Amino acid sequence: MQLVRIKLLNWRGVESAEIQFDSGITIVEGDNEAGKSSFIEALNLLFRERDSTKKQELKRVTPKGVDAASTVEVEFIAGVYHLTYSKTFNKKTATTLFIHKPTMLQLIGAEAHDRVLQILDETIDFSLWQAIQLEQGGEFSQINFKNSDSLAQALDNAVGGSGAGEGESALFQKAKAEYLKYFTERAGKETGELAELRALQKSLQQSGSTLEGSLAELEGYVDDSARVADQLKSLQERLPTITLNVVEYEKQIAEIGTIRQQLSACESQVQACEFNEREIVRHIKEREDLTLEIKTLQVTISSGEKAVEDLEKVFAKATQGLANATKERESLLLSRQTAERKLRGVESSIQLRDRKLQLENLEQQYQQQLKSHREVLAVETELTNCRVDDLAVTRIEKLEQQRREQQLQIGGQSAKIRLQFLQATQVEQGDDVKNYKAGEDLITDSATASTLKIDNTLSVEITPASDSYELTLALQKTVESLNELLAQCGVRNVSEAIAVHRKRSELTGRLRELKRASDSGQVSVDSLKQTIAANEKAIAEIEQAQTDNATGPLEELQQVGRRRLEEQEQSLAAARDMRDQMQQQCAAAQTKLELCKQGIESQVVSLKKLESQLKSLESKKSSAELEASRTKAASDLKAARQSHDSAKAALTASKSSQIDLLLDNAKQALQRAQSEVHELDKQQAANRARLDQMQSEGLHEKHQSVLAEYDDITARLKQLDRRAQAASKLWKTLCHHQRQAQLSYARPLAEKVASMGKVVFGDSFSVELSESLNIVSRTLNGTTVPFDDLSGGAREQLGILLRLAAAQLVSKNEAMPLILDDTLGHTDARRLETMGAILNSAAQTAQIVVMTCYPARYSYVGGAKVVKLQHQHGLLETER
Amino acid sequence: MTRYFLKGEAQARFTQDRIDLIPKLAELCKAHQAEFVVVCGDVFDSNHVAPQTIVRAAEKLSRFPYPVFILPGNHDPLNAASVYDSDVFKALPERIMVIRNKKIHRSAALPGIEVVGAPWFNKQPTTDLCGQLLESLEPVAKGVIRIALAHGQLDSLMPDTSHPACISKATINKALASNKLHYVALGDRHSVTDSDESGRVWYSGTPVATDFTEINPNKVLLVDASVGIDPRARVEVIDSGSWQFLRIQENTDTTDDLTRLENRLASIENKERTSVSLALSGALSLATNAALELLIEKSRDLFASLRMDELRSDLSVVPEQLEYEELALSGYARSSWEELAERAKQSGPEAEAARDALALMYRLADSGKS
Ligand SMILES: [Mn+2]
Repeated sequence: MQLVRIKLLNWRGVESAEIQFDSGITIVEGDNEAGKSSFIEALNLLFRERDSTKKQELKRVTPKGVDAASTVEVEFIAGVYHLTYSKTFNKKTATTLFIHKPTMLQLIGAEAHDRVLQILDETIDFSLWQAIQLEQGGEFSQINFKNSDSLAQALDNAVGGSGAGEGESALFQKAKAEYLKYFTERAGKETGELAELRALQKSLQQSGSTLEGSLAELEGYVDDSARVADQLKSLQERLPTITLNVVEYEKQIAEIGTIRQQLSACESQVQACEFNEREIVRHIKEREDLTLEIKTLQVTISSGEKAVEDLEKVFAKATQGLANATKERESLLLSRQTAERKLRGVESSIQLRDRKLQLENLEQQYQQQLKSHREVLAVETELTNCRVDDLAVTRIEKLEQQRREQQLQIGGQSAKIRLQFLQATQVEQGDDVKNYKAGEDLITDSATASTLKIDNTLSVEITPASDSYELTLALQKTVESLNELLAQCGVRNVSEAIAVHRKRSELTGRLRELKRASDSGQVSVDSLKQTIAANEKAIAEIEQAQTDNATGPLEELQQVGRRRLEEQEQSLAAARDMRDQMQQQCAAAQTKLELCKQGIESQVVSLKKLESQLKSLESKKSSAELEASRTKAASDLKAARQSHDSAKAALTASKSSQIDLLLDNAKQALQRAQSEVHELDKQQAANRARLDQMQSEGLHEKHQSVLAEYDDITARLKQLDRRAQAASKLWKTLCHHQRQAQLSYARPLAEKVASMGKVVFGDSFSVELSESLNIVSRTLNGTTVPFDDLSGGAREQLGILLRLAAAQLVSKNEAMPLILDDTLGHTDARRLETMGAILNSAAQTAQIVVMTCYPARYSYVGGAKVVKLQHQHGLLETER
Repeated sequence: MTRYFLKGEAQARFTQDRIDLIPKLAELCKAHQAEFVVVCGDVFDSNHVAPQTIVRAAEKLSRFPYPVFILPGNHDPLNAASVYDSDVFKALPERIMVIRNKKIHRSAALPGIEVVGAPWFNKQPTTDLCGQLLESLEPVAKGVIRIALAHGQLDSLMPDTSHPACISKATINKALASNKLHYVALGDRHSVTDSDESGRVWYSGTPVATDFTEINPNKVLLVDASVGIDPRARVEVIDSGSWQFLRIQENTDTTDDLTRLENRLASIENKERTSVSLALSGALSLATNAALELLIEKSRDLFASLRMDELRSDLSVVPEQLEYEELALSGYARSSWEELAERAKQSGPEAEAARDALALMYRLADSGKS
């Protein structure tokens, strides 16, 4: 295929432009806005899309605001065909094909489109052409050679192969499809029916083992049931024996009970006998005590009767004594009365005499009183005549003093200075030096001038006063006052006043004395008068009462009388005591006697009672009989004790405590066995319940059916597995052989790349290609670098070389244009020249179109035709 | 009973036929004037069968007009889970008797007949239950016929007699000789077996076939155990079941062989009650192999089951030169074929896979042509 020209109308930024291509290399220059990429885009869309397409990609090619359709027209040669092919998109859509050679023909619409595809399919490897395009900014490094038949054919030719046909591809696809029925493409894992059956088999296996587990569990319950049943059986066989044991021991216990009862009866018997014996002994004792008591009582009574006799004698004696004492006392009473009368007479005589003396005294007192009273009156009268009292005399003396002083002053003979010292001071008066203490006074009344020198600090000069009228007036006044006062006091002068005053003082003292004397008597005159009258009356009374007048010294008589009376009184008291004593003795004797008599009486009563008691006891049971029963009771007791002892021995022999333990043990054993039975029954019931529940599940059928299904699935799986293995085997074998073929294709391609690369990189250059015909690594100067680790420039250069190699290897009649869009951007200037040479050389066998906005990069391409694209105009120019 | 090779409706049919055997036996009894029936164990596959299975069997038994003596076997032992302790079984009429102990069983309807049995109480007895039973017996009264039922393997028929539960043939012989019984009915073996010349010790086999391994299945025995001039018991083998389990062994090398196999399969009657196990051998061409696969596929649905017995089959597919040329392969396809063909000539699983791969390749490439 060879491009002749391409024309655009209203395509993006291009209003109208046309490029004519060289059959070798064409360099299309233009800046970014010039629309280089639009040409490549339009070329691709022309072949790929129908004019009716509604793709957004195409909507965008028509510029906005332009009311026109977008059209691309390409003239090209493909095999024997020479054609002009155009499409208008978006508006007035149209497809037009002019076939110029080999036969002129015009087609439109879908027919045109289909015809072009058919021609392309006949003449070039369209997918290879697509693969080797290097678009600006695209992933340019590697080429997707898949589905490229022409390359494979070309490479196959290159290695001299017989050529693999379309049949292989079809077989390969079918084998792959077969493989993918069973396995995933990438991981090779089982898939589809195979995986499903495998999973089903696994799940059935699980169900199977679950069911087997359940069945085993069920069998476990069955086995356990059998075991429990065995245990139950053996227990139930043992139960009667254990029960029998209990019964046997209980019987023995009952027998021991009987022995115990007997023993207890014997104990009661012994107690009864003991009691009986004690009672009889008590009765005997009682009777003995009674007899003894009677005897004692009889002795007491006889001694009591003797005592009564003695007491009666004592009583008689006491009665006599009392009579004597009474007589004595009566005579003593008479003597005392006489003594008393005598004393009374003496005493009244004394009283009379004293009264008379007292009366006499009183009368004297009375007279004295009267006399002092009169004297007081006289003094009082005299006092009223002496009027100068203490106050008056003081005033008079003072006034007199005043008068004398004033008199003296008037005479001018004297002046007076009084110095009072506040501290110890030395005073010089003339030649006289005197020391004064603090508080001492110095008074001078010298009528002559004198000088006082005090402590040598102060000098005082005293000068006598001159006569004064005022002084005379004051004296006059003083004299007047004095005279007035004297007159008032009833005296004539001062000395008289003083005398009167002295007399008055004497009178006052006298009066005071008198008053004091009368006051000390305390008895007033009137009361004295009354006392005297009362005394006179009492005397009269005494004289009248007096029968016989005592003579002699009255006081002595009185003393004697009193003494005698006292003696009389004493004798009387003694006599009275004697009588009282006798009276008491008498009463005591009498009481004793009475008591004694009463005692005997009661004792006699008691005796009679006791005697009757004894008699009644005797009548009930005679002593002999009592003694006989005592003997019998003793023997009874002995017999009872013997039976008791033998019963006790029997109990000891029965080993009761051991039997108790054995019974207890047997009972517990029974209980244990019963509870074990109960427990086992429970367990059995639980087993039963579990069994019933599981039995109802029909586990056997379920298990069998799972086994059957598992078996079926396994058989199917085996068959499927065999098919899968066959598919896998075939697919892998085919893959392997295809890979081998591809690897053999890679060799000529790698050689072609290397031969061009040596020009650019040097003789040591070589590349390794993968089975998918991509560059794996580059080797330069013996160093191998993986493709991906190479610099961007190197990758780009290798990418171009690989495309050039692929384009050249395709046979001449199927040659196709290689369009490079702005490549070599990463290539330095040194390489640009060699790359240019390579491009120039490659253009000998393949048409090359280079789009660039950097013309300098391709200035080294010698035989290039340059086309410059102008912005806006899309002007076509050609330069050589 | 569930047979792994039966599926879906075939399994249902099989199960139903086994249940229907009970009324069928009643008909046979009537036809042959039998008086009673003994079943020597394994009436049920397991004690853990579904309640519905027990109910259905019991329902049929309850309608069975003759006395039946059932002996629990190793599959249905008298343990805690025993089917014979289920309510439906306990409710069966008196004439249906389960032998639960060594006691002598008599029926008012069967004067002069005594039945004893050695039931299994668990799956693995540790002694010869039958021997124990026989030794406990007293000689039979005059005019009475006594039959013993036992389950298990006769030591006289076993290569290994060390198992403690083996039934001692010697003990049986002794019991027969000392007039303790007249006939021993044995169960466990699925093939009708007359144990010796006395004719009084028989396995009755299985009344309905259940497996490929059985010899002479589908039978019941009609026994006259009375003592006559002939000391042997009179035993008649009667057909009772209609299922068959066929093992077909064929050489299939050529298309003629295939045709023969096809005819043989076609000739089988009662296909819906027939299970076929194919044991084929031979070297097949790719085309013959494809034809065989087609035949099997076509036949499968006709039979209760039809499957290849992989263990007993020895088929290999060998591509012929003709077939290769016919494909006209080129490029890597050709080299792939050559590699696989080379491997296929060897033996072992690898070669087998290579042969299969060749067959597949043939199919794929061929279909591509047509
Ligand atoms: Mn069995």
